[in-house]
Amino acid sequence: MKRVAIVGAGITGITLAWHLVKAGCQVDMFENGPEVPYPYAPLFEAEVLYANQYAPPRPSFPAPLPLDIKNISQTGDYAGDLQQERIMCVGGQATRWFAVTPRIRPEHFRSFSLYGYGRDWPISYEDLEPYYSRAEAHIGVSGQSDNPFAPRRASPFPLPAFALSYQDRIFAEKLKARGIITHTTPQARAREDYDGRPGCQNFGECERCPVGARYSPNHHLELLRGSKRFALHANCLVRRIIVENGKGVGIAYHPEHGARQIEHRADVVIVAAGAIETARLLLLSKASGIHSEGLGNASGQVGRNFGMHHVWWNELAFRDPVMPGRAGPPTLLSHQFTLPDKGGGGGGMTVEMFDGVPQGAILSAERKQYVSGKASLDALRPFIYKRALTVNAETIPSDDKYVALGHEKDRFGDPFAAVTYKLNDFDRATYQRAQRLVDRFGAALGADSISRGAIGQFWSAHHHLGTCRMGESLRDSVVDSFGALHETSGVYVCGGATFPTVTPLQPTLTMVAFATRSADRIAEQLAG
Amino acid sequence: MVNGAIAAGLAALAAGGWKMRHHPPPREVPTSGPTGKLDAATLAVLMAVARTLTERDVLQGHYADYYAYQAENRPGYLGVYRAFVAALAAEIASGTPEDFARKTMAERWAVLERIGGSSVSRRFDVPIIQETLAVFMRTDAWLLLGYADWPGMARGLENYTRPLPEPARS
Repeated sequence: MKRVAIVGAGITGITLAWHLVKAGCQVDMFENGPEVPYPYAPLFEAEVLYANQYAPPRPSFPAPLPLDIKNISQTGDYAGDLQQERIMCVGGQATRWFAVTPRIRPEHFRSFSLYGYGRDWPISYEDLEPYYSRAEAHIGVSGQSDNPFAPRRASPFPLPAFALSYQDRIFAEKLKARGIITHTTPQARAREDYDGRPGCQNFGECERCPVGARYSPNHHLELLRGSKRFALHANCLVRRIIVENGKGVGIAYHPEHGARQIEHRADVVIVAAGAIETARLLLLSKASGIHSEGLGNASGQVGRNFGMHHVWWNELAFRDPVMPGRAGPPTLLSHQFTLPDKGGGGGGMTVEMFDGVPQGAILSAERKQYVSGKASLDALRPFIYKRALTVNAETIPSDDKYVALGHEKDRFGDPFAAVTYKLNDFDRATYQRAQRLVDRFGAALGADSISRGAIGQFWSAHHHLGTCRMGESLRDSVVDSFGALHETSGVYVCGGATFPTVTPLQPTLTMVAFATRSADRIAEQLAG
Repeated sequence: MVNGAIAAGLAALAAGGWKMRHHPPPREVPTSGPTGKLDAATLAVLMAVARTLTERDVLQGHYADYYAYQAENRPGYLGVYRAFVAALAAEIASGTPEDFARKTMAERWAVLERIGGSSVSRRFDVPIIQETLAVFMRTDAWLLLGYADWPGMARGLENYTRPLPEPARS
C-alpha cells in the first residue's frame, strides 16, 4: 500500500486525505494544533450564547499553542494580526469561516495576458471546471444561477440557494435601477440536509455553526476516522521534509511538541499548511546541493509572491430602519466589478452587503458600560439603521510582499516565519476604485451617510495566499499546477500557497478544487 | 403597583444608577476560583437582579442559562455570585437574600444602588451588572428594537425573507 504524509489538517489537507484514502492510499496527517470538538456546539456556547465583552471564551477553541511553538513577526502596512489569524487546529481556518464559495472567473486565470498585470495561472478555468463541480458536491454548496457574471458551469449547484432577505430585495431593486446587478451568494452552508449534515436553521452565526450545516473539513475527518488507512497526528510539529537522492521520502516531526523527534517515511509528502507555514517548512528543509536555500527554492521563489485579500469595511446609514442581522451573513452580493476597471484603474472587487449580525455595534455598546437596560437599548438602537458594505479586492504580488525566516526561534531552535507586506500602486488604485463604488452604492440606495474604511484598514479575511506559486518552470515558480515541486519528486505543495495571484473571489472553493485534482494525480502516479 | 414600581425604578435610573451615581474603583473580572453548579437560591437572586436591571418583570430562561454556564465553566464566577448574595444579605437590614427577589423593583434598585456605592462594588460590576446587561443587549434588546428573534436562536429560513410586523418597527 502506498503511503502519503500530509502536513496540515485544514480544508486542503483533509480534502486530499479523503480522496487519497478512497483511492486506496495509507494517509498519515500531521497537524501542529489540537483537535476541536465537532460539531462546534461547545464553541458556539462559549463564543455566542454565553459570550460578551467581559467574559472571554473559556475554554477557548482551539486551545492556544505556546509562543515557542506558534509565533510570527510581521512588518509593513498590514494592521491585522497574522498570529491571531492563523488558526492552527485540526480543521484549520475552515473551522471558522463564512463559507462563501464562488468560482474564480476565467479571466482571472489570465490576468497578465488580458490586462497586463499580475500573472497568468498555468491552468485555465475550463481545465478546472470539472473539479469545481466535484468540490461543490464535496462540501455541499448552496447556490443558484442568478449571477450573470459567474462562469459557465457544467452542472447545477448541489443545493438550492439561500434566498435574499426582505431588506436585500429592497436594496437589490434600488441598485438595479441604477445599473448595479446583485445576486445571491454561493456558500458551503447546507440549505437542506446534505451528506449527513443538517440543513441550516439560521442561527445567524455561520462562522461558528453549532450544528454542522456550514461545511467544516472536520465533517469529512469524522468520516475518515472509521478507515484503517487513515491516521491523524494532532499536536505534532513537523520540522523537516526528508529528501534522499532527489526525492522526498518522509518527514521529521515532534509528537506532542516534545523533545523526541520521529522520522515518518512516505512515498509522497504533501505540504498543505497554509501559505506562511508551508513556505517556512520548505525553507527549513535545507539540504545539500540545490536544496541549500531550502526545498523547492533553487531559484529563490519560496516565500515570494505572498498575497492577501484586501477587505475594506464600510457602513451605510439610512433614515429608516434596515434591520440588519436577520439572516446568516452571506446574502446580497455583486460580482459585477470583479474584473479590472479599464477606465479608472484599479483591480477587480467583490462588493458584499452581508446581512450579518452587527457584532461590532454590540461590542461597542457593551464596552460603554451602560447602567440599565434602557440605556443599553438606546446605545444599540442606531445599528438598526445601518448596513455594512464591504469590498473584497484583488491584489497582485510585488517585491515587498514576502515570507522569510525571521530572527525569533521556536523551542527547537528553528526560526519562525517573518512576513513583510507593503501596499503597491496597484493596491492604492484599487482602493480608489473601491471608494468610487462605495459612493455609487450609497447614492443608489439613498444612504444618509457613509462610514469608510481607510486604505490602511484592510483586512485579509484570513486569506493568506502565494509563497509557493504554481507555474510552468522552476525559473519563476515553485510547483506545477498539480502542486508537484519542480525540483524534487515526491513532494507536493497544495492549497492557497500555490495561487499565483489573489483574485477578488474568495479562494476556498478553488483550493478544494485544486486539492481534488492533485489527489487524482497523486493517486494515479502512485498506482502506476 | 407594578407600574409604580417600574416608574420608581426608572426614576432611580434617571437619577444616576449603579455606575453613574458612584464612581467605582477599577473593576475586577473573575479569573480564578472553583467552578460548580449554582444553587437555586443564588440563581433566584441573580434573576431578580436581571429583572431589575432590564426593567422587565418576567424574563426568559436564557439569563438563568447564562449564570449557570458561567458558574460551571468560568473560574471564579461561582464564588463571585455567592459573594454577591452575601453582600445583598448584609445590605438588607432584615430578612434573607431570598427576600430580595420579593421586593418591588424600586426597592431592589435601591439595594443595588447601595451596593454599587460600597467598597465591594468593584467585585460585582463586571460579572453581575455589565454581563447581565450584555445578555440583555444580545437577546431581549433585539425584541425591543423590533426583531422577532435574536441571533443565536434557530430562527428558521422563512421569517427573514418577510417584513417585520409594522408596529414593532415603528
